[in-house]
Amino acid sequence: MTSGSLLLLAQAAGVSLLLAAAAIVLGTAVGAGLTAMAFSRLAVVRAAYRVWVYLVRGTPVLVLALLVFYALPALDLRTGPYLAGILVLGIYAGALFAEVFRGGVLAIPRPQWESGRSLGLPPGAMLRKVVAPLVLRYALPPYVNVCVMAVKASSVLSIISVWELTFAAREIIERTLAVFTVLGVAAALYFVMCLGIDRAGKWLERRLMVRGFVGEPA
Amino acid sequence: MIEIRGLKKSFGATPVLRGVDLQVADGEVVALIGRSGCGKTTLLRCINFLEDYSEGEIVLDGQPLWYREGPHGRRRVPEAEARRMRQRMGVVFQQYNLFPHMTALENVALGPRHAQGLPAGEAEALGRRLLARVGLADRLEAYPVQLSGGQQQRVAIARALAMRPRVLLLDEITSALDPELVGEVEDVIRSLLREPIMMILVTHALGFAREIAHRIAYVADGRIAEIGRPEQILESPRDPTLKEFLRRMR
Repeated sequence: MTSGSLLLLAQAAGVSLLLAAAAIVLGTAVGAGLTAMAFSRLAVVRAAYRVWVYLVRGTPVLVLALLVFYALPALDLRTGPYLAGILVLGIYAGALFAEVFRGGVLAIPRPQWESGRSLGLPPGAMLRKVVAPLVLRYALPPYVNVCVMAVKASSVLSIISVWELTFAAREIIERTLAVFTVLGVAAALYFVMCLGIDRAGKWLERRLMVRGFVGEPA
Repeated sequence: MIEIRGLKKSFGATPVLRGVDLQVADGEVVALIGRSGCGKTTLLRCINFLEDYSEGEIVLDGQPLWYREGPHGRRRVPEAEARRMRQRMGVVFQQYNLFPHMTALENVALGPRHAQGLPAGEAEALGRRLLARVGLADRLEAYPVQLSGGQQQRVAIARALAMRPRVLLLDEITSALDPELVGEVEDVIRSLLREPIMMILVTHALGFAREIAHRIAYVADGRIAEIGRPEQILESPRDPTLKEFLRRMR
């Protein structure tokens, strides 16, 4: 494999990582909003949450990508494939994050809620000072899991003509026919990206961990 | 003062409180004793509205708490009002229930800062003062896991006091502690007796109740079956189940 091809793959990996990062940011916001819906006082809102999460989770990312890609122009939104790609990944990761965060909220022991209540903490302060920090700690390992999935899921965006790692790999293969070498390098690049996210997650876990709080990081 | 009249509560079909009447005067300490399951902890939790109740009223310094009688019957007060009412009471739980992600100082300063809106500097100064008062001036930056049970419980008492409550509700605050740590927590409570603060404590430590309480109330079957001065309750009980209870506790 030529150094030109290698450089191309590395650049494409950078694009994949950027796409995934944007999707993680978007998905985190979407997930937080969805989680708020999951704990709404209104049954309708809670039902809407469940339906949305089931629908998104139950749809293959590939189908979701095609759906969004064709739906946006039909709605007269000319976003181009990259924005559409971020939107797809963001929607997908958002539904998964929502469940991760919901699990984190459910993991907060009842006495913590009662302590907050007995102090007369207003809901905003309770959320910022107690709920969010605890959810962050409980939900971090599964959150990192979804981030890793988002990186790998970015590969399907090649179907909507997003130039990213998988797309670039296919281009090079068509030119060089070096199927296994190119795919091997691409796989290695995905692996390194996922490992990097995993390490970053572990680092954050250690930083946030009060010793003995929810067990030592693996 | 606190006046509780005709308090009733059920868990499903099981009545837990069957009409509790109790008055606590300013600066008075009342201990609630009784068998487990008699309703004493539930009574304490009702006072702070951690549990709702179906009948009766609780009045603090002349102000009815938690429910309002309206044209459409009895309704809970709005949440914001309930929060203000809760701030006049401090609760200390059996299992301390400190916030695990906050230092001792942060735990104590949280309520004054975010529930009562004190400036950060003042809330922190108050926290330092109270932690010094419970003998933890050197553990301000410690997280709960780094503290012993007795230390955690003292932080919890400081956290409750930080709200400058009219009344302290203490729910078996030494039951979860190793015997050698009980004393340090009891000392903190003793030191509060000089203050004009009301205390209602649920306890199994009869010796401690006798020492610090002005009155002891024996709760049985969801009612206050007998109430009086500690000597009277512990030495010459009239209620036959109380006699039996005391015999078993010895």
